[in-house]
Amino acid sequence: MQITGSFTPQQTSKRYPALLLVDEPNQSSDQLMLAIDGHDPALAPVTIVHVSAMMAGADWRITLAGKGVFTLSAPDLPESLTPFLPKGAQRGFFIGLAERLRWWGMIIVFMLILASLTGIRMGLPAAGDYLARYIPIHWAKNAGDSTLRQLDQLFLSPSKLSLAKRRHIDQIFANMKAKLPPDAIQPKLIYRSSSSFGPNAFALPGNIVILLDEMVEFADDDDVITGVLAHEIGHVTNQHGVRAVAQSAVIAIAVGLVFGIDDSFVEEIATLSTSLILSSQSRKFETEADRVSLEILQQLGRDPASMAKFFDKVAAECGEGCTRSSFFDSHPRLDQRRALFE
Amino acid sequence: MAETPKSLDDVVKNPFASKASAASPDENSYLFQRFEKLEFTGTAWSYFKIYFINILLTLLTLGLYVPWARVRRRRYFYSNTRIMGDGIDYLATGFDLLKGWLLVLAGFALFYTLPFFDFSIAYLDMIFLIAVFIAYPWALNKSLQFNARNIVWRDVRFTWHGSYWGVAVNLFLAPLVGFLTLGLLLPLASRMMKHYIAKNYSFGSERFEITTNLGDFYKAWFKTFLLGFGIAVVTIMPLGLAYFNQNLLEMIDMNSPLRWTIILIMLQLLMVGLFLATTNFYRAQTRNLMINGLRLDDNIRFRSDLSGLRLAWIVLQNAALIILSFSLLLPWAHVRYYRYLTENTYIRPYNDMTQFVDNERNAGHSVGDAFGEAAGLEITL
Repeated sequence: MQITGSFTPQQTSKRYPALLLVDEPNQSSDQLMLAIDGHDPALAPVTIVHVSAMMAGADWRITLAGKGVFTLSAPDLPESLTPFLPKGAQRGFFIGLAERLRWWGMIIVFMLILASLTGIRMGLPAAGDYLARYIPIHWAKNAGDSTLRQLDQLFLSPSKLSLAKRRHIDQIFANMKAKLPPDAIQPKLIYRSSSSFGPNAFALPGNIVILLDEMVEFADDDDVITGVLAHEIGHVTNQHGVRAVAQSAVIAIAVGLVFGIDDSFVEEIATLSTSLILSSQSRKFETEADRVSLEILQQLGRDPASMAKFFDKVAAECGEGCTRSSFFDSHPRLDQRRALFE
Repeated sequence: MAETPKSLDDVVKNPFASKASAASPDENSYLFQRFEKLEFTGTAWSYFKIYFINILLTLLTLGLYVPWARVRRRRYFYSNTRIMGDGIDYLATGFDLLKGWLLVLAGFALFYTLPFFDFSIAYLDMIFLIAVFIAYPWALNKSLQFNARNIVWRDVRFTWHGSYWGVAVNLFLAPLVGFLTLGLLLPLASRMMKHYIAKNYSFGSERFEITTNLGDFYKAWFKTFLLGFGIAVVTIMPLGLAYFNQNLLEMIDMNSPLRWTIILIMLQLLMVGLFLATTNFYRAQTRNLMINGLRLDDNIRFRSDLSGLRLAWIVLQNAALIILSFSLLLPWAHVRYYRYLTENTYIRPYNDMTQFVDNERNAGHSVGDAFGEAAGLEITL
């Protein structure tokens, strides 16, 4: 059998018409011969050391030990060459199967892509949560402390609340802490003021709860302050901070991995879906913290309806903008949150 | 064991005997040849399969397949690009790329776990970012080096001879200065970039050379400016007129928040379109200048006949189709863009291109390449 192609001597750009000979009349069956036009010697026994993987439209690049490269233009590697191929060459042929797919094969590929995307969508937040459980609490506290330091440098200023007011809120906070199970993470309350965040309170990874003066003024009601602080305690005891960091890390790494295939547009979509997943996760956390808040309010014998009134006040303050919702919101809609406390 | 046959006639009737020997040009044959078009043999359908199978295997292996996916994507485009009928090939394997890929992943993971460690160093993430910034030119340089050694035509590979500071100054600092001067020095920067890239590649042991005229780069820039200005006037004027048209205003509910959303989306689309059109127009012009000024081994010349408007139009259409098809047509768009670039590039060979030799074998490592891919660094010619 004669296989027609061309031959390039090692590390040159020369090109000769050439033949690979297998099982020709005067040839031993375990020998592969190369015949080269216009080259001396014209005939030589050769060994194949490497064959390029199958690739649509590409020539086969067959590397011959110590000689050079035999190039073959054919959709498939001739059957007769199989006994002379190096061991590893067969593995690449798996991918060759993919090249032969027809349109219905691609439909199956698409269905599999959708299925794995769904699986990943479900699995990633869970994987992040799982990871978060193995993060020691003092790591989380370190993270919280350094976040606080940065916030202090950039946005926060010391609280201007009177000492009496602070004592009063500290007392409320202590009452709530007393209701926590003994093995729960013990939250720590600190006071700050900030013009850029408005009326707000938040929990950092670890155990820090920050209450802003603006929130105290805006709420102006012990029940509401209790509800708000209880909500933040819910974040702390449920470790939402660390879980959010772990989840965003897992998702970011996974998305980077999968869509690292380099495509700015696909990357955009990936970033978009990352923030969609993270936002939906964040809304879940907020609802969970609201439930804790409700529970604590009931345990302390305070009126949950005051939280409903508080949400009304927030809604009135920010007007139309707060009644609309989008999939990118970090918090559930106000009326949904309000309904929980009624 | 059978005796080794000594001559071709012992084995088979000499198939070459009938033809005149093509490989040894006689004294009178022309060493100089005509300009020949580069050929692209890829099709949208074959790349479509490669692209989506890459995505599927990457998803199923949770990302471990990425290096192999990259190799297949690159090989597809290289090996379907033919010069004088012979395909270029990309020789790196998935395993070659894996090492760099794992290192970049480790960097990624480190970045995300940093906040959990308290080293009592303020702005630790800032320091990390600066380190990444410093690593950029290094990564691009190593990436160019690695990939050049893995691109082969016949059996001669390319080599990249750039250095850290050369890359930093010519490929990072120059364009930055170009932008900071509001584009006034951009043509100068483009020329520096193109020259640096061209001069630092060699095919085997033969270096590329380049001569271009700075005035031509300024001409290209000026044309781009006119184009951008023209598009802006043509598209914003009717929008402005519509805005002040009372009849139209009455048709739209002025207080509806939807109206603002629509206007914002329209403006954004316009900006993106303007950006794509002008950058690709400019890219086509400067690529032509670079390729036309390129020389190899004194006698081999190149030609690039891109039309800036055509390239801009292709890119705009591609963008629209990708969005409308939810990225299903992305492979088609890629092939179309690449085909336009390749099939408008010509080479004037000399001596059948048989005179090159390659003396180097070391391909370097893939860390820079992986970093570059992760950071979206890319040099396209």
